[in-house]
Amino acid sequence: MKLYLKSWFWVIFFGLICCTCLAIYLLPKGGNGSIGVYQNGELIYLFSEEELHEDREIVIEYMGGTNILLISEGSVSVTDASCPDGDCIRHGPLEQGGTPIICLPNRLVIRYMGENENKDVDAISGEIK
Amino acid sequence: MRRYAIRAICLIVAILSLLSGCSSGNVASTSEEFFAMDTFMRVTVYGDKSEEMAEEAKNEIERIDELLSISGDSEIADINAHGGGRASPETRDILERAIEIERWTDGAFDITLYPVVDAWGFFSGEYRIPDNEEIKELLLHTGIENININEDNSVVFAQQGMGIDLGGIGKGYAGQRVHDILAENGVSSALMELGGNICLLGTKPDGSLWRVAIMSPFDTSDRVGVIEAKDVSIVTSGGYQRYFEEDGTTYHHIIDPSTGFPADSGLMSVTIVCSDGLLADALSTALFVMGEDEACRFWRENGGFEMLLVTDDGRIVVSSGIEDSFQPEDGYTTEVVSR
Repeated sequence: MKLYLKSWFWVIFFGLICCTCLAIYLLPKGGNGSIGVYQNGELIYLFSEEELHEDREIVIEYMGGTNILLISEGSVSVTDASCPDGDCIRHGPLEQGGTPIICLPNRLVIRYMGENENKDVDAISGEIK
Repeated sequence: MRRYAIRAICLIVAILSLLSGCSSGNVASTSEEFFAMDTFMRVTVYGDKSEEMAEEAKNEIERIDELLSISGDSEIADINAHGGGRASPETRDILERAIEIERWTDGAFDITLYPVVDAWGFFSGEYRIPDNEEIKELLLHTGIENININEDNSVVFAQQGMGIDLGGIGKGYAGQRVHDILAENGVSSALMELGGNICLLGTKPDGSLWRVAIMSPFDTSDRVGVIEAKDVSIVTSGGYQRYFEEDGTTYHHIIDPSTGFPADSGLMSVTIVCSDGLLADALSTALFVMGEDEACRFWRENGGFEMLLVTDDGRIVVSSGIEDSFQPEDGYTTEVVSR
């Protein structure tokens, strides 16, 4: 009887451990895959992974300036902007683990949410405007 | 039976606690994101005082921006507008350090190029190509020999039309100031991302080294490798982000003080690793202007920093001090410079 209880205990015990590990592995990580659009530090759009596959254009205005965002094929890019240098346009589509899209004149930042949890690096050193 | 069940529950709770601790890092952290110094910045502070210290860091950077900016009501803007003026002791110290580095690098780093950079349109965004005569004339109004800093902290330009631009050291100085303030307040782990200008305080909260990717100058969504480090600044300069094109030619923002034209040294980017943020910032520009051979000679003859050069033919040259901490991406090989 004692042996039977012990075996029963270990089966249940390891079963629970396996389920727990599987749940932790499968649970969505906070912000994974979603993209946030910030204007002057404020989150103005948050696109989930599903929403990033609904192709469309969005016009964002700030103090008389504009940026046109294209949401297409699971990512976001800036296709037109009122700023003189056009760095945000040259950046191309946002990539996970890459640099955020930044438009300094229009105080716009587009980046992956929770990116620090997913990246294999902590920061990127480079010429970043 | 009940005893085994209780044991099982206790064990599962303990394991879950351990797992959740590992996944979240189990250390409080606060990030402040903001625009300053003409770029986007993020400061992340770890530890019990993270919220208070992250705000302190942001305030300090904004204060330095107001002090050193070439626009607005800053001291530097005022000095430029009036051909001189009084500097605060802090600004005076920064100017003297900049002049010291200018002499040390034999003019490769130059804070007096303001009129030349302005003529190219890199401050206003209204780009143009000045002709040789204009450049020649403008270069007469540059050079540290034309700046006098007096004992009463007054700064006097010896030539009309001169100007100072501390953009080549401002972010490096700000990162170092924040690093020191946080350290003085007992913070042992923080990451300052001032544009692509990285300053590391201590190690990551778990004691491991920070991993900093070095952006590829050929494709900014790619990287040439990763440097693992702690307690240093990692600053990269290159001509691949701030530039304009005309008639098929690219003109970038790093001006060679000896020619007045964008530096054409055969380097695509220069990364400096150094425990002094201001120096890292200044040397990344200076070595970019110098080119590979001169940069290697300068590194061999001087200590106190490490470097990573990316050449226009795709080679990566690293100084021996970071040979072991740099991991190149697939497809890149490194050449090591030793003393």
